[in-house]
Amino acid sequence: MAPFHLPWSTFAAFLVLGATIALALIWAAIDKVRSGSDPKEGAE
Amino acid sequence: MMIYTLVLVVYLGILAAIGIVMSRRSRNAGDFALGGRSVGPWVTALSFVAAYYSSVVIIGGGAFGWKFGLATLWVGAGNVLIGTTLAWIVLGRRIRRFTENLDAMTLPGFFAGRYGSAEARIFSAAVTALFLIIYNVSVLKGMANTFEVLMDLPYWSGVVISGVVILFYTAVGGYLAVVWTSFVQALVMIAALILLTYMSLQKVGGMTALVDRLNTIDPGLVNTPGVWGWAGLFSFTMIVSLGTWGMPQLLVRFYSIKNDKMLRLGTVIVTIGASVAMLPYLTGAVARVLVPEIDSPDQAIPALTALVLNDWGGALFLAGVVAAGMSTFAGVLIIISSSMVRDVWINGLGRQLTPAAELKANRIMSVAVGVISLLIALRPPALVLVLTAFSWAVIASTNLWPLLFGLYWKRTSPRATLWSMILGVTAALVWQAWPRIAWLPELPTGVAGIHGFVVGTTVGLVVIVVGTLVGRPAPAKNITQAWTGATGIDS
Repeated sequence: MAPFHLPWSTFAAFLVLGATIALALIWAAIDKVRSGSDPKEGAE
Repeated sequence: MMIYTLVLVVYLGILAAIGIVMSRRSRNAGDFALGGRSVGPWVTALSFVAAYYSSVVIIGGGAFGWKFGLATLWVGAGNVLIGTTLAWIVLGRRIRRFTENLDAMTLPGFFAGRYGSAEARIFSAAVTALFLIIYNVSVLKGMANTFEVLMDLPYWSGVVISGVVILFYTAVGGYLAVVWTSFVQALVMIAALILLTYMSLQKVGGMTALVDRLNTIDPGLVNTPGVWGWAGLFSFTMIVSLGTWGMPQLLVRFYSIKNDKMLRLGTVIVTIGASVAMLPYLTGAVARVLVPEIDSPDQAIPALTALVLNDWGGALFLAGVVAAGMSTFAGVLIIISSSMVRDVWINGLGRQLTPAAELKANRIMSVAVGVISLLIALRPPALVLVLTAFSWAVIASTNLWPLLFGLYWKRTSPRATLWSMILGVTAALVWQAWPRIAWLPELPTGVAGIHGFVVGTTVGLVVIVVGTLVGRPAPAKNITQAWTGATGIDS
């Protein structure tokens, strides 16, 4: 049984939400590092 | 009633003031349609959230939560992961660069530039405009219903009040007014949803108590897929999540952001802001416990609001629902007017307009489209009400694959693109109409629960892939122009 007496199949929706926020943060960090080698970045 | 009126008058006054201020920065058609591609990450991200979650999502999401229970939390999670974060990561940068390289201000304009196909431009513009007007009718209806329940106002006055204010600031201030009002509206909507969720969870005794009480009503309200079943849950999640990838009023946020770099911060902000998608479904489930005796699931959120919030909280929530509807309606209005003027009038019919005349035409068109939506919403015909249920499916079936493949697969065939649009839309419409046609055989249980969106996009995907493998790509000059300057993301 997951927290709040929820079945894991339903509680996993909250885990997906947390993982999505982590994905956005990680993507932004990787993109920032990668953009160092792209001279066109932000040029517009 | 005094408090409701006060909060609404102040709120609507602020929106009108934003429209007047932004009118000074709307000097040509590019400013009117895209704000001169000068919008920062905070405003872009939060206006995306406001345009995504209309009053239909708040009231309708609550209705789904009431009817189907906590499995609907997956719909909210899908909205955030697929409809928001992945959309920004996969589409954002390429759309920003390609539309600038092609000098495209609209999605049909992108198809014309990328594929060299006037037919794809006209078909996409026509389907999108028609079904976005129908979608707008449902948004206006959602707002007016909320006025009816919370303020005891007649339906028509809710339609007129919200419609007139939106028309004013959109026609006067153009896209910048739409994104800045949407930014304010997103903050109001997020605050309202958090307040309602907090107060209703307190009232029910907390999250664990909510789960226990739902379990006693029906364990299917707690499990996944629960009483909804996989076909319904999966289809609905996909249409309101993947469907955003083909919705022009959301994609336009990528055209108008100031530069690539800002997409990075924007992606983080939009993900956090969009997380409120879970809340209407959760509060809908709370309503199942606290207000089980209602005439229709659509009354779940208004009834819960009346039960758990005081007048000030109720007024804030009403402002939040109206905000959600207005931002969506205004975003759609800009898309339809710029598409009709640029794609149909100028490029489709070959009429020349000076920059000043194009700006004026955009303003007139936005008022005309708004008034048409408003008049239909006052007494919506039965057919329109049926069509609102799958306007997203039709628009997404038209635009999704031609956009995605156009950004990532140079070889994509213009002819395959056009047929993907035509057959995708046809399949979605036929599937939705199937149960209403007496002489057709009944669909098996399970299959019948699949939404037309899934069918339409599946057909569109097969057609565009197979057609491209056997067909010819777009002219080299179109491909070169689209990819020019796309260093670092070239496939």
